[in-house]
Amino acid sequence: MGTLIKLPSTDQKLVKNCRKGDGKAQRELYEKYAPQMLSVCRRYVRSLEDAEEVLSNAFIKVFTKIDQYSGEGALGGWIRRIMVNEALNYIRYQKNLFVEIEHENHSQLSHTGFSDKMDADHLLAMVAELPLGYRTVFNLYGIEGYTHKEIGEMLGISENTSKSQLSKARKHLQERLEQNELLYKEQ
Amino acid sequence: MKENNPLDEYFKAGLEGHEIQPSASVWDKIEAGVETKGSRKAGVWLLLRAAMITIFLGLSTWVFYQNNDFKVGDAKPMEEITFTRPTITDSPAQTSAAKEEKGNESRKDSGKEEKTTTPEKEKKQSKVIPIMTQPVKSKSIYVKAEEAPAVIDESMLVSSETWTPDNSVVLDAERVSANKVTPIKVKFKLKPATTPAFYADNSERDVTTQEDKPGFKEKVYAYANNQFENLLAGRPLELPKPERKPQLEIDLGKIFNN
Repeated sequence: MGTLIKLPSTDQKLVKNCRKGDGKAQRELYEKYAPQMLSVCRRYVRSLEDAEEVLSNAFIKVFTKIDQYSGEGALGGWIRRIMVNEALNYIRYQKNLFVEIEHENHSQLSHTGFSDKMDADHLLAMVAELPLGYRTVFNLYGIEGYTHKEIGEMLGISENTSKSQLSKARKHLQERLEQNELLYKEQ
Repeated sequence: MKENNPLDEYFKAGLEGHEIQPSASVWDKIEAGVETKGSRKAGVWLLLRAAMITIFLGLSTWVFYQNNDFKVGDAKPMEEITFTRPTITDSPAQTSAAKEEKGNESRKDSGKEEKTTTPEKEKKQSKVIPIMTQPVKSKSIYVKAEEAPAVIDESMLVSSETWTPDNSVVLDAERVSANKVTPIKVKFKLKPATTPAFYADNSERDVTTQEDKPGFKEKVYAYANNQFENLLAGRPLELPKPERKPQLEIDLGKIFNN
């Protein structure tokens, strides 16, 4: 007749069990939030491999620091902040190793544009292909919602630098969108 | 919240809820990096158990060596040693033909004793005469190395070359050496007291305890004789007792009260 289905645990229950060190709870939490979080990470770095690297490092931090989650605010939001933090660390780490070659990569974009609205993958691709500085500031300001002051502190830059980087990023993205729409329109 | 910019809003909305499926390797990395409470506990306990076993082994080894003191002078019990009565012969060849007997046979009935061993060797039997009743010859006595201790001949005492220590007699070498007499020179001066009686008892004197020249030879000979009798009788050997040297008596009362 009816089969028993295990209902997904609530965030509260997951956190409680993860605090105990329950491996199954950890797995469940990961399964629940990893896909969104990978998308978050993907925006900050150049490639999917880099994004997965950030994701794994960040989740390790999530599980080791689960005790520090006070319960205030959504669990997703708390995890997301760890993701962003880890993404920035990764960028800094990469910067120290070698000079990141910034060049625009048009091949990622599909020029067919089947749908009216740009789908998420396209948008993500557009953001991801921005130069490092623009990309980071745009992500932090436009999507995460940090202030320039906060961004300045996080990245070690001045507020003005943050503002200029943001405007340049927007300009870039605007051009990209128009290009795509134009291409779409041409067809 | 000042997300007024339409571009920002557009992107934000567009990316809202966007998901990318991570590859399986990601979870493996995470799992490896995170210690679940169970594994950490087990790891700590394992370490504790290993440490306990190591400590236990170390302690027991130490205790074992403490209790079983392995000294150099562990002597064998007397029963294991077999002695042969030395027979006085003119040459070593004849001595080697002599039979071995147990040392604890009584001396009294050894006058004209026969060997009580295998019939084959009866031919080689020779009369055994106890040492003390035998005529003393001026020549040195040939004795087999593993036989009874050599007879202490007066002539042997004089020249140290002929007197060799016999290995078949086991003495506690450590204890013997510890009792060696060492010369002690004691010199002391006492404060002269007011009463003349004090002078009578305590005077300046050199006290030495070395006296080995007069009568030493006689003492050694007497000791060896005694010990040999003990040996034949099967009694344990005795160490030489050191004489108590004359000691100076000090009346401390007089010293402190003056």
